Amino acid sequence: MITENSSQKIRDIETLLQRHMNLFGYTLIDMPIIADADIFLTRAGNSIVEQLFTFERFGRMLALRPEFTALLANQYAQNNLTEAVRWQLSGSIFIDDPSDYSFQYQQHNIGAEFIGEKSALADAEIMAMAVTGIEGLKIDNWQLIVGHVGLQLHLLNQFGLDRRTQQLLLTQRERLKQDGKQAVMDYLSQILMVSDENTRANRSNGEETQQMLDMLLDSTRYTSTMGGRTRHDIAGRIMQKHDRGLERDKISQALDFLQDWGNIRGSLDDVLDDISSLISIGDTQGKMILDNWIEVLKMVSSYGIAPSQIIVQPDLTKNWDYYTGFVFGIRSNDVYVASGGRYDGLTRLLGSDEEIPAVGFAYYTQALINALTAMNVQPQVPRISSHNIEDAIVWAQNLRSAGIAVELVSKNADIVINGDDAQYENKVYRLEQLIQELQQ
Amino acid sequence: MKQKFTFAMPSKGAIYQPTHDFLKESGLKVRKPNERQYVGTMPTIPNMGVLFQRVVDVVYKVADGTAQIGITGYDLVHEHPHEDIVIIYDKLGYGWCKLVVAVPEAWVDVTNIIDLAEVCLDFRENKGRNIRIATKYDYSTREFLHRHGIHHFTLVKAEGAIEAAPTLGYADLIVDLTATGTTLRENHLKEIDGGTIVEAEACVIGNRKALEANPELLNAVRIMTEYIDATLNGQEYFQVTVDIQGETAEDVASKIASKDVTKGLLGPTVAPIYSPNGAENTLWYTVTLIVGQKNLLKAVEHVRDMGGRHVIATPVRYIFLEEAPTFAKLLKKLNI
Repeated sequence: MITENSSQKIRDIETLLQRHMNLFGYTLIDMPIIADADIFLTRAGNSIVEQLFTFERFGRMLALRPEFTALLANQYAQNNLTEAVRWQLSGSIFIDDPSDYSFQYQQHNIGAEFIGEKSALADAEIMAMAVTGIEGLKIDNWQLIVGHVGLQLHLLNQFGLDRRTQQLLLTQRERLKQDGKQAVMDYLSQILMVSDENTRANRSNGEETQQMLDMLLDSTRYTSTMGGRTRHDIAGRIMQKHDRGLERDKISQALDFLQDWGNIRGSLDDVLDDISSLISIGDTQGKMILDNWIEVLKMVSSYGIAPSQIIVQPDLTKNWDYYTGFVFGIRSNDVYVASGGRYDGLTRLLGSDEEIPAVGFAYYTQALINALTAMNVQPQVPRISSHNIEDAIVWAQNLRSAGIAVELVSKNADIVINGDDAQYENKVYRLEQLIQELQQ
Repeated sequence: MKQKFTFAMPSKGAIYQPTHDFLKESGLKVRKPNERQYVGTMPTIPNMGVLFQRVVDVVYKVADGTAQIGITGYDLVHEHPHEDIVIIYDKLGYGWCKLVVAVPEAWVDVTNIIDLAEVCLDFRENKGRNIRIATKYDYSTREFLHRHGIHHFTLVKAEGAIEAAPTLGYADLIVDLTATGTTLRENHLKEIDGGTIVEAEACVIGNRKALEANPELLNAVRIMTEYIDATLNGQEYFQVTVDIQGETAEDVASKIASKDVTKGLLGPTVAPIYSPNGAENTLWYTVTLIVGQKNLLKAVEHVRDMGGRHVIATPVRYIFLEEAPTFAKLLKKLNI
C-alpha cells in the first residue's frame, strides 16, 4: 500500500534517481500498466508466474505489469529499433505474493535498460550507475553482489543434459546447499526417473520403452483425441524418458559442479582461481566469458567503486529466467535494494528477428525507503523559499538551469534566499557557491 | 414466527434431491409451497427461511451474507474461497465426486503429475504455446498446478461437455468432476496419479460475520447441528436386541460386554423376560445395545455364540450425544 507519506518519499527518491540516471543519458519513458500476459510469462521464473495478476478480456489474457524489463524489451522489438537506446523508467508494479501477509500488492520500481549494446562498457555502466545512485541517496552500508548466469549455463552444458533437466537441477541449488547431494539425487530420481544401479540394466534393454511405444500405437490407432500432441511428440518423449534413465552419472557430475559453484563466494581476487578451476583447459568460450566478466568488474572499479564492496557469488539467483549473462544485486542490511543483469535473448523471444543485446536493473523503492529510514536519512529535494517570493523563483530557476532540482515552498525551506545570498545548512552562499555545494 | 434468517440450498442439479432427502431424514424437512417459487420454510426452525439457488450461487449468497447458512458442493467452496465463509460440515455423506486432471488416453507417456509438468514445458519449448486446459474450476486448477510446479498453462473457460474439449481441439486436457470415471473413459481420457485436486461431498457452510454477530442465528444453527449430528451418528449404528439365557442380568451383561463390538455406547441394557407359561426353568433376558454398522455381523456372531436368539437389528435414526460436536467445533472456529 502506498500511503501519502510513502508517496512523498517515493517521489523524493524518484526525483533524485531520475536526475542521477539523466546524467548518464537515460531518457525517461512510460510503459502501460496492463499488457499481454505472455510478455511477462515468456521468461518468467516459477515464482513470478505464481505472483502475476492476470485476467481475461475478450479472450486475451492480460496482466498487471510485475516489472518493466520485459515491457521495454517488447517495445524495442515491436518498433524494430536498431540503434542502442538508454531508457529509464519509474512506476508501480503489481505482485501477488501469497507469503506477504501485509497484502502490499502494489510496489514501486525505478530502473534503467541499456538495449542494443553488447560491450563490457554497457554492463559496467549499468552496474556502476545502480551503485552510484545508491551512494547518491547517502546509503553507505551497501554491498554489490555479482554472479554470472551465462557462465553457469555454459559450464552446465558440458554435462550434455537437456534443458528441462538443467532447469530442474538449477531449481535444486538451495536443497543441494541445505540437504546435500544425496537428497537431491533422491528427489530427482522421482522427478526424472533417473535409474539407479539396480534398475539400469532393465532400463537400458528398453523393455519398458518398447512397452510404452506399443501402447502408443494401440491407443492411437482408432482414437482422435490427441490433445494437441502428435504420435511423434509422444514417441519422442518416451525415448527421452528412456535416455534419461541412463543419465544418472551425468546428473551426479552436474550436481558436483553446482555444489562447487555454489560454494564460491568472496572478492574477485579471492575466488578467481576457484572459478578458473571449474573451466576446463580447452574451453575457450568459457575462458572468454570469464575474461569478459573480469573486464566488467575492473571497469566498475573505474567508477570509484571499491573492490572491497564487491562480492563475487557466481550462482546468484534471479526470479526471472531471461537473464543470460552477468547478474547483480545491491544489498543494504542484508536486504536487496536493487538488482539487474544482462538479458540478450529476451527481445527475440518477444518477436524480434534477431537477438538484441540488453542489460538493465531496477531499484526496489520501498526497500530504499526502508534502508534510508533505518539510517535516519531523509532523501529530499531541497526546498527553497524567501520573504520575497520572486527572489526565490529566480534562484530556483538558476539552480534548475544548473541541473539541480529544487522545490519552491512558502515555509519550512532548506534554502532561504535573502537578496543575493542564500542560507543553507547554517551557512551563507552566493549562487555559484550554492550550485557547487549542491552538486557535491 | 418471522423468518429472520435464510438457509440456501440447491434448486436443481445432482445434489438437489439428495439434499431434500437428507434434510427430511434429519428432521429438518423443507417445505416448498410452489415448485416455481424459490423460497420455502423449515418448520423445525421457524425463524429460518429457505432460499433455493444454483449450487454455485449458494456459495455466493452465503459469502455475501444474503443467506447465512447453506448446503452446496465442497468442490465449489474449494473453488470460491472466501474469508467470510466458515465450513460447518465438510462431508454430509452424499454427493461424492472428485475434481481431477484428465489427459487423453493416447498420452501413454503421461502417468503422473510429474510427467504432466514436463509435457507442459514441452508445449512451451517445442510448440511455442502454452498447454491448454479446459475447466470451469479456474482457481482450484491454477492453485493445484502451481503447487505442483506447473506454471506455464492457459485455462480455457468451458461450461458444458468439457470432456469433449480435447477431441474437439480447443483444449489439450481437462480438469473436471468425475464420480465413476465413465464419462472420461467414453471420451478417451484418463486420470493420472496425483492428479486429484479435491474430493468433495455435499457440505454445510455459514457466513462467519453473521454467525459471530447474531446469537439467535447461532442458536438456530445449534438446533440444526443437533439434528444433523444425531442423524450422521445414527447412520453409523444399529440398535440390536437379542434374547439370551443366563443366571443373572449381571452375568449376561458382563458376557455381552466382554467383546468390544458389543459394548454399546455405555454398555448393554439387560431386562428380564417374564414368560407367561414358564416353559423354561432358566431365566431369559432381552439385551439391547448399540452396535457400529461396520461391526454388525461380528456382534451378531458374538451373541449367537452366547446362545442368543431372535436377533433384531434396526437402524438408528438419531443419536444425540451430550452436545452436538459440530456445534462445539463451530464455536471454536468462530472464537466464541
